[in-house]
Amino acid sequence: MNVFGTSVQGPAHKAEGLPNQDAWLHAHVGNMRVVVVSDGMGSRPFAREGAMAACRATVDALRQWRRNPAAPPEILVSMIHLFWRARVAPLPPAECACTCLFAAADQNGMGIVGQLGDGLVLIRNDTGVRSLQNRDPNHFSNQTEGLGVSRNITAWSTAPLNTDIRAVVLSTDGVADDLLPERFEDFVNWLEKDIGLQAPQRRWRALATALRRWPTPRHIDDKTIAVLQFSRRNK
Amino acid sequence: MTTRTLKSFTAAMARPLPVLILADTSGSMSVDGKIEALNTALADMIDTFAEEDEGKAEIHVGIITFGSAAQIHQDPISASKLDFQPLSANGMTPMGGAFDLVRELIEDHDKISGRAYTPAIVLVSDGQPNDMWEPALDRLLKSERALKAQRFALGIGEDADADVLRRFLDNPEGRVYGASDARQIKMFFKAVTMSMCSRSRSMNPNATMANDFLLSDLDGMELL
Repeated sequence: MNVFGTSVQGPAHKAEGLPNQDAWLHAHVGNMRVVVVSDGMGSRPFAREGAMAACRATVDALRQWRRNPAAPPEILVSMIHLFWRARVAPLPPAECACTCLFAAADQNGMGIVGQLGDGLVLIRNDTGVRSLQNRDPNHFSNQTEGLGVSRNITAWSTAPLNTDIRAVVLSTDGVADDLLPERFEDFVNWLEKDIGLQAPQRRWRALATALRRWPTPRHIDDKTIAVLQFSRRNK
Repeated sequence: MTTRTLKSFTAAMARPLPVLILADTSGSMSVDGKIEALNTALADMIDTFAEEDEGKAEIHVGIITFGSAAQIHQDPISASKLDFQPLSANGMTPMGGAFDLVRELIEDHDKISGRAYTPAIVLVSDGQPNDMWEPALDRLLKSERALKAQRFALGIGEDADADVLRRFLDNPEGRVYGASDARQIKMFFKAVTMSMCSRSRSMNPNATMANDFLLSDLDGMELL
């Protein structure tokens, strides 16, 4: 299994001397590999802290959940809310609001993906590429659900991962909002082949360079991509 | 190589910030230089948006007129590409038709995509609507997408229907401005222009609460 990703500060935060408010993390949880990305909501004063806490809280929650993965995903996402609130305390949760996207799977591809708020989770299996969440037709750019926005677990999307999985790509909205939906598959191909097959140090540099040289005019947001890639020999 | 590849997966246009004008072009707008003042104000606004290159968004302008009929005068398009055709005034005040058209426009994802920042709607009228405007306004205010739009209202002259304009804003803190002459029409549009440029330059161009209006620019303008 191959895990890689990176996060770069967007031009808006760079110009204003503010840090990157996206965060990402990869971890081992038992026999599972986990990747999490989170986008701190720009208007919230502790968005960066919230995003970092979201990544850690998701790992915390998965550590508990993996003891009984048959437990419904609602239990897992409830625990993410709980651990996140514990991690951001004593800061007010609303001032730390952030999105949360994660994927966790064992070597055989068995696991789970989840998404709260905007961004994009792309899942490649043997039959093609699909996104976890269909975009809300009433959505405009930079409007999102998130940790610290509501505790409504129905705002989450989750799906099980099975043995036919080949890759999961998580990205924050700085990437997702500019991607052409009809090219999602090519985007995943690019990550798997052009980036994923490189040696780790070169891979990281190539991905960071691509995100810093983002081609959409007037792009402003921080950008984060994390990839969980399964090798064919395990299939 | 990498950047060239990414270009084929990503949008080639900046995220749009749509500004949709609902302009009263009834016959009464043809007196006292009102339509001329509105045309000048709109042309100035579009020119400023076209030159706005510091913003994070690309400001798009769409114009709906209601006079002899409610119609789309200009589909939303980047201000830098817009060749503004001046409005002419005649007919009645079918404002309800304009409410339906702007709702349909905002709900049309081909014209205003999910990449766009929250649109702004600017309603300008000098009279009372004479069509079935109430159900049309109701439909506009119940449209989940259109409801999110930032809304501005300007009444021109003494016959403007402040109650209708206030109901369009649907916000207890919303202000209905009144213009009694050409200078104040231009002032209003200048403030809208600055507000939109300010949104485009802000950290989050969707944050409309803090910069709804640059009130100091509208000192002396009557609140209807």
